[in-house]
Amino acid sequence: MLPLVKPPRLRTGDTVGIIAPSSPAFEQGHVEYSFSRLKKLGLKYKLGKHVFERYGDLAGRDEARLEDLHAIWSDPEVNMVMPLRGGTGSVRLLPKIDFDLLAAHPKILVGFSDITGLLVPIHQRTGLVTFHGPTLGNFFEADYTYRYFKTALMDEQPIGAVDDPPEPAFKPKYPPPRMVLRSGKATGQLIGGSLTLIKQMLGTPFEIETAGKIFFIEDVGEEPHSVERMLVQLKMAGKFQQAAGIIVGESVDCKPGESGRKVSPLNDSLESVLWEQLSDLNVPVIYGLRLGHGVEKFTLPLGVMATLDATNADEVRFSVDEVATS
Amino acid sequence: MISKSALKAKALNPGDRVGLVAPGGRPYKPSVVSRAARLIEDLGFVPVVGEYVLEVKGHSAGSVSQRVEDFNKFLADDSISALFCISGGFGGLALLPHLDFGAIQRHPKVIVGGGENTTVVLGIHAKTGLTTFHGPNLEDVKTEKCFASLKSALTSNTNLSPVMADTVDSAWSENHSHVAVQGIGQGHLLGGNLTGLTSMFGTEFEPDFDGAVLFLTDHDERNDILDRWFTTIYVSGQLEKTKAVALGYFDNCGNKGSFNILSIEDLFSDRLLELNIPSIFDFPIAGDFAPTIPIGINVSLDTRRQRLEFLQSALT
Repeated sequence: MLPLVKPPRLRTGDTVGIIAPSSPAFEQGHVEYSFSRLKKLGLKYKLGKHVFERYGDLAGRDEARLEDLHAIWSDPEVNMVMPLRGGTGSVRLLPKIDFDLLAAHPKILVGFSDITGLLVPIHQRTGLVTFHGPTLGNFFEADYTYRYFKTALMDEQPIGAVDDPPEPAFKPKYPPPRMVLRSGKATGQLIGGSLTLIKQMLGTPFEIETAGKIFFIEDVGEEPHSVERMLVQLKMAGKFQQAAGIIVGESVDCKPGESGRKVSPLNDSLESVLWEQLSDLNVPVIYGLRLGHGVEKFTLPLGVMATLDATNADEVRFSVDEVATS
Repeated sequence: MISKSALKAKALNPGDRVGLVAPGGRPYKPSVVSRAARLIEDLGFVPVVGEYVLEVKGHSAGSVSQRVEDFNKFLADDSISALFCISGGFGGLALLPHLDFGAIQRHPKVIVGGGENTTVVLGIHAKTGLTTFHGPNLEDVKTEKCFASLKSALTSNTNLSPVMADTVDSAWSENHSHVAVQGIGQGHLLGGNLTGLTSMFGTEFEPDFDGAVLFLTDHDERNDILDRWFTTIYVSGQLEKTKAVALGYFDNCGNKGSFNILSIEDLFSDRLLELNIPSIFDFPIAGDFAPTIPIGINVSLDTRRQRLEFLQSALT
């Protein structure tokens, strides 16, 4: 395994490099608003050349998105790389990414969803700590999200204990899941991201390595049968059995019918799928932390040590124990 | 060329007893099962319906152990010559680690399925070398052409007739096949439902793409998700090992309510052009006229003549 490389901490006055390695911004006005929020944080920003290109659901052709990734990442003025949003298309770039170039310029990369297709490969290929957290489009959407984002990227201390969002800001579409599927306690390096992306990279040179790690997953807009298929595949690939502990994050719009794709007339609930697939593992498994596609999400640095304590089902604790930046 | 088809079953004869299973989805209503049995009789065989095919466990026809029990009972029964899938749906993948591959090797049987039963069809082939069949699940046999292909593929021990796209050179032809790269590729036939096929990646059942003629199809899925799975085949390095690729029908796929989704042709053909692999879109695999085609035997795909030719027999 490569030695862990921590990117320099984000400081006031730093420059954020903005790219669109996956899908384009929904509307350009949304982006302008995000820029103003960066300025409020005392950050400058710099745009990739092709950031506003569109090619269907991709922010330009693969060559254009790749060019921006390389150019912004190696730009000495840029301290942090922040995608506009996820969507689709990051994995298409993987065979042509110059990982040596990225390794030569260690810097913060933060994002989630389709950006998992960059976070995991870049972490595994270069040893760099990458950050599973909001993209440019949503780092400011909730105070909770903003607070953990700042703590993870700007503080000299580890993130420490991760709490739930405070009650008043807590407006789930239905009572939030909070399940301990298997009790126990585990400590290990963090790895994980979007289940769809992790599944997409199985059988490729960028397949996720989970051995001895705290492995987190989340997804959005997938039918329970689709989540089941992905979990079965990951299980058949040994990815859960090797992990030290498993966290299933809040999974938004994963109730039957919510995807609008391959909807089945008969269904299991997501919870029963998780129960069936994950409760017989010999490691602690919990479901419901706020790290997914909800408005509230905390930022998780891949590669740093964390502790999951689900010994007592009434008092689950999760903490990030190590500072993620240098 | 080494044949991937180490093991072949016997061609079916009238009066053969055949097992009907539901490895994934539960047949939605009992009449789906009775009609499937009737189809089998019309094919000239004697249907034996699995015990649990109408069990309900979420979306599946019973638990994994019930579905495995049905499947393995037929595999171990020497009086059963073939296994047909009644329905597609989801869940076949979970059966694979529990199937009785030894029984298949001792007594090779005709095994046919489509949709996500691709996992079962390809998984058995990967583990045993048996020539299995990609064909319709019985509930999807809706045309006489589909029925005729199923019958001839499973009862004949000579080479099957070629599968051809509509070759009428006219803007009015019903299916205008788009040829991404002209050429001829020869190798073992591999493929099926794209979602099912790529759900085997990273597992011990992952198919062998080396020198394969690949065909892919799917249904009811959004194009960007299908592009994810095609991208898996590309990024894994498996696509470049194939000799030719036939993209079948992608029924009821498309944008599925999203408003900015490229076509399958646009999304897939950039990689096929880059790797210069003979390839054709809208090749008549799957859909209402779905032909039944054998996995693992040597074939030749000529994209210019829009023709898939079988170079070996599939059954003995």
